[in-house]
Parts: sequence; structure tokens; C-alpha cells
Amino acid sequence: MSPPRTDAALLHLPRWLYIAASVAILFHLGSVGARCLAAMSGPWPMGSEGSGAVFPPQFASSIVEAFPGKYLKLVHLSRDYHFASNQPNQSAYQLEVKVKDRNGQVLQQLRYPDPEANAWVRHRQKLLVGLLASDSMMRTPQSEVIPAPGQKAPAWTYWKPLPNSMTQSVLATESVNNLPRGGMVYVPSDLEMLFLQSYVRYFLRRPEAATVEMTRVALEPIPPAVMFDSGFTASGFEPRTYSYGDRSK
Amino acid sequence: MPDEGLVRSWTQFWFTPTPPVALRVVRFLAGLLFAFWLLPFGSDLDSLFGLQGWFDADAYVQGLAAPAQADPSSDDQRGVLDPLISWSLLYPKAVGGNPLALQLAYWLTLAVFVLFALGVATRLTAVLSWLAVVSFAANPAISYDGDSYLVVLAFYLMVAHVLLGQRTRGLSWAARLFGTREDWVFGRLLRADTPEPRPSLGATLGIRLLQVHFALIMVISGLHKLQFGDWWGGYALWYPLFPAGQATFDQAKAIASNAGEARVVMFILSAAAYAVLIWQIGFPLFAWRRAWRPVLLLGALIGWLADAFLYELPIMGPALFIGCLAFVSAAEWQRWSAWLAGLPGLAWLEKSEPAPDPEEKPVDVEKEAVAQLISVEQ
Repeated sequence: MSPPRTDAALLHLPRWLYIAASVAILFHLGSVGARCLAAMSGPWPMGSEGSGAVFPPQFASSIVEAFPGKYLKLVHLSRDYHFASNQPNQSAYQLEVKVKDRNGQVLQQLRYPDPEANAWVRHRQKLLVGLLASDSMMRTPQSEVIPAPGQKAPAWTYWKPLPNSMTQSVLATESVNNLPRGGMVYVPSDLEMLFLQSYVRYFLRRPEAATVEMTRVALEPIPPAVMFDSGFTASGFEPRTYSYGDRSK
Repeated sequence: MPDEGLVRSWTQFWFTPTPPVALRVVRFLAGLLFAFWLLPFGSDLDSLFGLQGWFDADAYVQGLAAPAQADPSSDDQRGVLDPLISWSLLYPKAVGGNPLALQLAYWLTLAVFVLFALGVATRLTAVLSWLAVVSFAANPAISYDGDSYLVVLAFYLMVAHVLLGQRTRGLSWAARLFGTREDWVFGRLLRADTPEPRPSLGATLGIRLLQVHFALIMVISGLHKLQFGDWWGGYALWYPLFPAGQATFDQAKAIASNAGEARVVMFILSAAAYAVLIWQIGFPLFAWRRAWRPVLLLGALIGWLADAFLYELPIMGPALFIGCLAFVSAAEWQRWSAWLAGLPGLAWLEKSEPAPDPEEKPVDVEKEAVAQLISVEQ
């Protein structure tokens, strides 16, 4: 029979030590909890605006921006545990890379995730490629943008669909006045461009490499509705390509 | 008074020394997991972790710099990647920018993980393991959900092992800095006189912190799932069965030849999806109850299998399972150990003195002392 568990099993530590430890525990776990709350949420329905993400509650943001946030970063516990894998219907992405020399000759042709790599490396490559897929939709101006004297109209970088194609787009930079007025276009995020340039530099470190042509291929998930709705066809799930074109350092 | 009960409950939960049995099991499994996590990256060290890799030094600098369109008068001049980038021992150019140094760091790290798992110099290897895990998991470009579990495990194992046994009288300075031989995995096998693990406040604190943080992760992750209509509609588990880029349209259509079969498929998938949600969101309600242990561990095992074979997410499954094992008490481990000791070749597992059962109600000391005094006087 096990000995009865008595309060004497508790160590006879000074009261101040219990209080100090309790405060430390509450601070630590409270910081972790506040960080979890201080996360963007959504997408939620936004009425006439469709759907979108919302900012976290101010009290949680304020706590995290103060010392608790810095403490969590220091101990590497600053995640909000809103796991990307919680989102079910995620597209799959591939990256096709052609490294070229000064004359435009292809030195190397690569695909990521690399089918020759082991499963764990392929998984990380999948994450790297997925970081390029953070486009957002923006509405173009309703009317012509008149620039200040001596200046040009601003240019937008956006995904321009190829003529007569529903599945191919190229990254184009054009004057905003050349875009369809009041329409919606997909634009790459700043984060996407940051990662893109880093990947370009990575591929161009190979000997004799001068430019690299990168194309992102998106494969959409097949919804369960295909079991019920005969209106779905295989052509609706063809891969979509997004070409970044030839890029240099 | 209710608040006295609350204080007593708090004190008993956090400050009752327990034998470090659960801690040792978690340490052994986590150490092995850390090693298995890092081992496959040996062929791609420079590209994944180096400062000349996919995410290079310039990208770190640009990610931390304030955006060009930021308001100069604003106090917030953080870069777009500022929330994601912390420190790492791989950031210095002498390490991350040097392929040879990176290789050395990699192999030394693997050695540290193995030593930690085996219980060698655990105070030192626990700290080194944490440093290594956070450093190799710091790259924001290859950051992954499963890495969160590894960082949490490494942190609390470090806390526990730094504190473990520090109150022991007569402990040498070497033992205070590096740890004792009591943690050695094969100690009991090689030396019959290996002492029983003493109850430790450090072990309790480390395990309790791990338990609470882990429970928080489960609940938050479960609630996050509710932000997606596919989970509410019960469709969520369809997608890992027919992953984008792998499953074809015809394969998906072929799963059900008519509407009746399709409804059966969705019945099963939606029930399973809600079981996942209930298990995760209700986690704190059963994780600490011994009677619900099968629910905890079976759910963790199913989660492991699903993560491995359905979602093809490395690390997440075993990390989830190890986190759940942290809820198993020392008394339960010793009961299981006693059962296993009955199997051929495992007699060395048998313990002579069982650990106290945490679910047994504590005896009031004052009443006990008064009762003893009365009986003596009589």
C-alpha cells in the first residue's frame, strides 16, 4: 500500500519562495496565453465586403507588445499556435526553376519539392515554395490616376493573365492607368517578393548563373462536392501557373 | 474558506515533489525525437540552415528592416518578418556562413541529443538541447507547426533538469553543473544498487509547466480550426485523404458511386472531424484524470497515425504523443513498469517502492498530529 500523501510531502520552503515561483509561473503562462490571443483571426464574414481577417483584441496586443512579448521571443515561445495545417483545403505548390547563363542557355533545370530528396527535406521545400503563394486581391482605381507634375503614374506589380488562358499568369509591372478601371487584380505581397528575391540569389550562386526563370505551379484541392455534384469536371482542377519570368540579382 | 482551498490546490499542483519517472520517460523519447528531427537534414544543411541558403543573410536583414511605406513618425518601425525572427546560434557568419562550421554544429548537436536521451550529464545536455532546437528551428522560411512542439518540449525539459535535485544535500559542484548519474537510462541495468529516484520539486515544476502549455496548445489549435467552415461542415478530413497535387479528380469521384454511398463517406468523415474537435477543445477536461487515460493516449496515438499517414506531417505526431505522455503520473509509470517487469528479460524494471498516487486525497497534517498526540497520551 502506498504511503498516504500528506501535506508534509510539500517542501518546507519559505513562503516568499512559493509566492515568487507562483508569480513567475503566472507571468510565464500568462504571456503564452496572451500571445495566443494576440493573433489575427479569420477569415470571418464581413457583410458586403465579403470576408476577411480581423485584428486581435487590443488588450492582448498591448500585453504582447510590452515586456511579455520580448520575453517570449527571447525564449523562443512566441508562437500563437494557429497552425497552418489547421486549414483543410490547401493548395499544393511546385516551383519550376531554370538557371540560365548570360546567353540565356539553360544550365540547370530544377523542380521543388525535389522528388529525389528524402521526405523530410521535401516537406521543408514544400514550405519554402508555399511562401511564394501569398498573393492578395486588390481593386484598381475607378478613375485615371493623374500624377504630380514631372512624375509618372504609379506602377503596379500584379499577376497578369495570359491572353486566351484561364490558368496561366505572368508577373507584370505596368502603369496603374493601364489596368482595367475598378477591377480586381492579384498582387504579390511584400513578403512574397522578399522570399522570391532570396530564392533568386540562392540559385544564382551557382557557377556561371546569370538569370533564373521561376514558375510557381498551383494545384487546387478537390472538394467533397464532386461526389454529389455532376457539374464538376476535371478541367476545373487543372494546374495554374504563375511565371515570375527571368530574374537576376 | 474557499480561497484557502484554492491556495492549497495551487500549491499541491505546482509544488508537490514527485519522482522524476515521467520526466525521464519524456526526456528519453524527446531526445530521440530531436535526433530524428535533425538527422534527415544532413544532406541539405547549407540550403536549409546556412546564410547562403534559400533564406539568406540579406533576406534576414530586409525582413527586419522597416517597410518603405511605413509612417516615419510611427513608433512601430518593425520589419515584416520581425515577429518571426529571434536569435539563433546559426546566425553568426562564423557558423551559418561557414559550411564546415555548420557541419560541425550539426554533428555535435546530434551527439548532444543522443546523450540527453540517454541521460548523460542531463543538466548540461538539457540546456544544449534547448539551444540547438531553437537555433535549428529559427529559420522563418522553413518554420513548421511541428517545430513548435519541439521547442516547448526542449524548454520545459531544460527547466526541469536544471532544477532537478538541486536541493539534495552534499551534491558536488560537478553534479550541480552537469547532473547526476541517476538519470542514466541504463543505470538500473548495469548497476543493481542504482538508487530509487527521489521526489523532486524541479521535476514537478517542469512537467506541470509542460502539461499546462501543452493543454493550451491543444485548445488554441482546436479553436483555430473552428475559424474554417470545412471543420464546422465536417469536410476537413476529406482533404488529407485526397491531397491537392496527388489525388486526381477521377480518384475523388470514384470513392462513391452514388449519392447514398457519398452520404456514408461524409457521415464517417464528419463524425471523425468532430471527434478531433471535441478531443482537442475538451483536452483540459480529461488530460489530468487517470480514469480518462485511455482517451488521452488513444487520441494521441490516432493523432500520430493521422499526422504521419494522412497529413504526411513529420514530427508532429510523435511530438503530440510525447506531450500526452507527460500527463501520465509517476505512480502509473511504476504500475506499468511493474507489469512489464513480469516479461522475460525486463526484471530490472521492477521498483521496490511505489510512488505516491497523485489522485489519493492528502491527509490533514494538523489533524494527524493531534490524533497521534491524543493516542500517545492515552
